[in-house]
Amino acid sequence: MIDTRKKIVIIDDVELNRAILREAFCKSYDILEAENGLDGLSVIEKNANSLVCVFLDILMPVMDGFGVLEKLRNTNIIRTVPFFLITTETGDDVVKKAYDLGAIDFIQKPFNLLIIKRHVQNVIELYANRNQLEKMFNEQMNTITVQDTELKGTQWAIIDTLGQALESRDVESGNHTRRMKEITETFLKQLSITHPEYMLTEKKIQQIAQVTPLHDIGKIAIPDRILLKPESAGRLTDEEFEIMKTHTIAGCQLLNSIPNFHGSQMYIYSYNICRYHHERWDGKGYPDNLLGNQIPLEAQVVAMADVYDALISKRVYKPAFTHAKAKEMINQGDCGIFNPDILQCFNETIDGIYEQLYAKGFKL
Amino acid sequence: MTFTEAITEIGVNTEETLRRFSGNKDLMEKFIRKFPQDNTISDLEAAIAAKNYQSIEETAHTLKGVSGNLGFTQLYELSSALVNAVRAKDLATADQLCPKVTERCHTVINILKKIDA
Repeated sequence: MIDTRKKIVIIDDVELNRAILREAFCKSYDILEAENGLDGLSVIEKNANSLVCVFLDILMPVMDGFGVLEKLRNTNIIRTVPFFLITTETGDDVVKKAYDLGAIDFIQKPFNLLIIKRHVQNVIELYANRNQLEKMFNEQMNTITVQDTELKGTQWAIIDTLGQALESRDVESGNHTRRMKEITETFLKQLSITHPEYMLTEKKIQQIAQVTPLHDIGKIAIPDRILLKPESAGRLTDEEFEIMKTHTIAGCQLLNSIPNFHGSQMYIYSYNICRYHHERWDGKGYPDNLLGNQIPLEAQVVAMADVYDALISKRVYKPAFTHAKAKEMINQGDCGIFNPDILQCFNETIDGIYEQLYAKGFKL
Repeated sequence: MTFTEAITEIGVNTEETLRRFSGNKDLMEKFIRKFPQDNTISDLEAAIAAKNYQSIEETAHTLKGVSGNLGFTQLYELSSALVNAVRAKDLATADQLCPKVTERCHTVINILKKIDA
């Protein structure tokens, strides 16, 4: 490849034109010639990798210059190799057609080599630089894509490990985290239909659902004596509950410790869900007492799912409530106040969710 | 007659034309001496005889390119004028120019034929 001289193709039925152009460029380039468009096309295709420029006559037997350009339309060749049309002075319609078909410029007869040589050389260098830049760009993009995939894989491995660590402490069953994902996704889909103003796209819904299992990740940092306090020891004291509340912020700190996770959309959703899934619409939640839509939407929806799942499951400090009771308690505001739009989604979908996830026992 | 004498008689701007051939005098001479064998002239004459103006335009256009590149200034200007006249559909002017173009062609050819072998 390195030793291959760069090539110029001259396609013209007039020998005189080919001879003049050959003489002008043969010192710096290998010159290939063709007498009509069809032959020219096969020369171009055979030498596609070492071409730096094509001179193309318009009027030729068998296949004219426009025929060649049309055959090469939308190919890589026409993008990476400059095509100069050989003309005597030409009408505007021909000029426009040639440019539209991808010709870079014209060289006029009678040839003025002083201009042609400089002009062609400049364009060849310009194309070489551009092709080189494009090649470098593509190589770097490929590298970045590979690294990005590896990085995302690492991030998810870390996140998954955190989730497993939490489950291994017997805090939440794996089923809880999986149900949370299902419920959140159902709420979000319903919300996207009934309330398009939230601008929930399918992609956004999937991204939020994917990070939902992280909502309680901060519980890893809560001491056993509080997290696993047995029923026989009584409910959490005020002081213990204050420590329990810190799982929201502890979760964010864990997320921050994942390398290169910051700044990604997934990080933002994860962060918001960890930190704000105990906030309430009326400002009476924790840890930041956010009010109304100050609470990120993804956290509002996860909170709704979390509350229902907690009510309907048995916990050390409470029995499992029935579906009807849980629905009633939520609508009465027993578990805090929710965004009316999300409460509406809850009421529209929760019977179906219950049927699917709880009534028959949840298996994944 | 020498080659140099012939192209001087035709009125070739030698310096400019030689530059077009990248200073290769042999190459320039080769193509100038080949001009009498060019079919374009007979094609043009046939087109004129048939009063086929599209063909006249095309052959005159080819002749314009060749004569321009060879430095045959007068022939270049006459064939340019003929192309323009046909394109402008000014057939009266075209009809006047046709014999002038072919006449000039033959003048150039006759001079070239006088070059000693």
